[in-house]
Amino acid sequence: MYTTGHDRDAFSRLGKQLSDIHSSQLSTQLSVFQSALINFANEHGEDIKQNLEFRSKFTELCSSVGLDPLELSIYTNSKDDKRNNNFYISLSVRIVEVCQETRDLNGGLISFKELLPQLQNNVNLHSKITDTDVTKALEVLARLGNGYEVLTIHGKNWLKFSLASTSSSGFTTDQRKVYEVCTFMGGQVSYRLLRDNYGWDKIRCKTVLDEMIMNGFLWVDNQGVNGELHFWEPSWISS
Amino acid sequence: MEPYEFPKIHSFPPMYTQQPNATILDNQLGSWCDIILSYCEYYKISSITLTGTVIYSQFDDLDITQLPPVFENKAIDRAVNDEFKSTIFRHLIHKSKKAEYINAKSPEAGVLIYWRSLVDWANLIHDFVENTGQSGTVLTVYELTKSEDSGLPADLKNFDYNMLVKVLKNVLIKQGKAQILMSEDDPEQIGGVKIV
Amino acid sequence: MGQQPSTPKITAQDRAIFQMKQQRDKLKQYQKRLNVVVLRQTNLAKEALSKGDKERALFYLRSKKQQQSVISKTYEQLDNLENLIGTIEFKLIEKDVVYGLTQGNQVLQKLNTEMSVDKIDKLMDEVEDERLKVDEVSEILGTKNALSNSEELEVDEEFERMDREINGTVQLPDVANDTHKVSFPETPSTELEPEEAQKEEQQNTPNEPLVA
Repeated sequence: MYTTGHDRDAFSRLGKQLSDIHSSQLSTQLSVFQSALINFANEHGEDIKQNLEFRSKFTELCSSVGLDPLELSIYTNSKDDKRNNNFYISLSVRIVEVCQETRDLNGGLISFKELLPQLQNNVNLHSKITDTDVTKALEVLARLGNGYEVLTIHGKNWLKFSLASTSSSGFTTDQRKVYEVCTFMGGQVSYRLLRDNYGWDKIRCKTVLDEMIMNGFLWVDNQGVNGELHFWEPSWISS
Repeated sequence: MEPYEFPKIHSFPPMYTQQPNATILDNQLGSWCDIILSYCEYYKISSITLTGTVIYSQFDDLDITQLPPVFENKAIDRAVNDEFKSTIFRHLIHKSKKAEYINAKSPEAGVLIYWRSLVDWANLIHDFVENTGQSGTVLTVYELTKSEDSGLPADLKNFDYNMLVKVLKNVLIKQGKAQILMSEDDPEQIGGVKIV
Repeated sequence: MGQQPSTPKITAQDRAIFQMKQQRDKLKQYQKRLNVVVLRQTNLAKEALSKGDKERALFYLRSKKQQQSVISKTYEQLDNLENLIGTIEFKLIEKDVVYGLTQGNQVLQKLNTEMSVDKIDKLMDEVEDERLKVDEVSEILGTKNALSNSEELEVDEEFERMDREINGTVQLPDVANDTHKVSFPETPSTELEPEEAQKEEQQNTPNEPLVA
């Protein structure tokens, strides 16, 4: 009776070991195959583009091994000096992905400094992505509505995005000013700072700040000196 | 030993204030749970009070009063208040499922922190008993957790009694791998165990 | 495999061992405590001596000595307990072994009764009877599986022919060799020498006649 439990353990351990080996072999094969596809697309890019039937077959092949045809066009087109439209479309898709992933943490406001490494973070991508690339890619997105916009705050680029592209209000001037103070003050702002810098009254401060907190652009800190409230921009954590 | 190095977010002043935005709060609670788990793992802490006072660590030469407090950051002069601490522990217990009250009826008795899961602990104990040829013999709790001459693995040394009870009752007994004997001196306490 | 595994049972022996182990643990803890006391008393004695308080130092040392003798006594007791636990555990294993032997013996006995000589004799008789019956039937049907006399003769002849072909020529030199080999060592060495010498002479003469 006891030994059966024992054997079962041993069997399941062995089974796990075997399937681990198997899956690691498979994933190696898969990645080899994926890079082969990328190479192929690099060499025969024109053919793929010209021949409609060829292209659909190729796309099918790509998706069956888990290779996004969109990403593929990042790899294949990034080498050219003239980065074509496909490259920017693919890049814009990546941007949207990164924004979605990080939205819970930053409330839909991400600095280029944080965004670029995440876009770059792609094993097969060797060329460097620049601020200009991102701006161009965003132009592609702009055709779909103005959910994404670039803000320049104190010389640094930020990407602001919201899901509800209908509410085109986006980042108000006031909210932008709050972030400007943050950049000066090591990532934080307070009623007093806003009053001293912009001469805003209490109600104006409260409206702007509450709105920003609700959108997740600011974190509240109630333990400042003399119990003064401080508001911090969350990118401080990753900076 | 070197003091535990807290992650950067532990120095982010708003971490010590409960965030009003629900999505952000969820994120914040998750970060706190990560901090608690890695802090407890580093110091081998098995139980902690709801205010963050360490109850038990497996390192017997560790002065638990000298540990850097988990809910406080003196460098930025911030501390979590008791109410928010309870919220954090509720998240750790019910959402992350990485902790449990020692006694569900009196939460103030503290919580057990599962930086290692009960099942993993159970496997460690079972492997030790099996590898030392002690399957089917009666072992005292003292033998299992304190003994110096039985080849006890370092991970099990000074194992918390409360944790042991959970491991036995919630895992090993349910798997039919253990039977407990109550202590002669205190019938409320488990004194020994037979593991097969 | 799918069913709920039964929990291990705690036997009376388990309880007995458990009790003893608890006593042993208590002794171990007691020893630990005494060791701490002894260490403290040593320090106190040193302290007293450094202050010149000879009486006090002596008192601590005496008390320490006492504790140490207690410790050594506890070691004896611990030894006894450990021995007892060991003996009991060993006896339990012995008991298992004896139980196993008894079981094995029973099975063997049962098997032996099933294999009684009478039964086997009877079985063999029956087998023989059946075989005879088969022969009988075959004979009646004329399909007896045997050769006629003339056929047997032909087989014998063929065998002899084959024997001669294969062994006949080989046998002769074999015999010659054998007599050679056997006869030489048996002849006394004194007689052999001249023979060998002769042989050598015969071999040598064509090349070196001068030697002769």
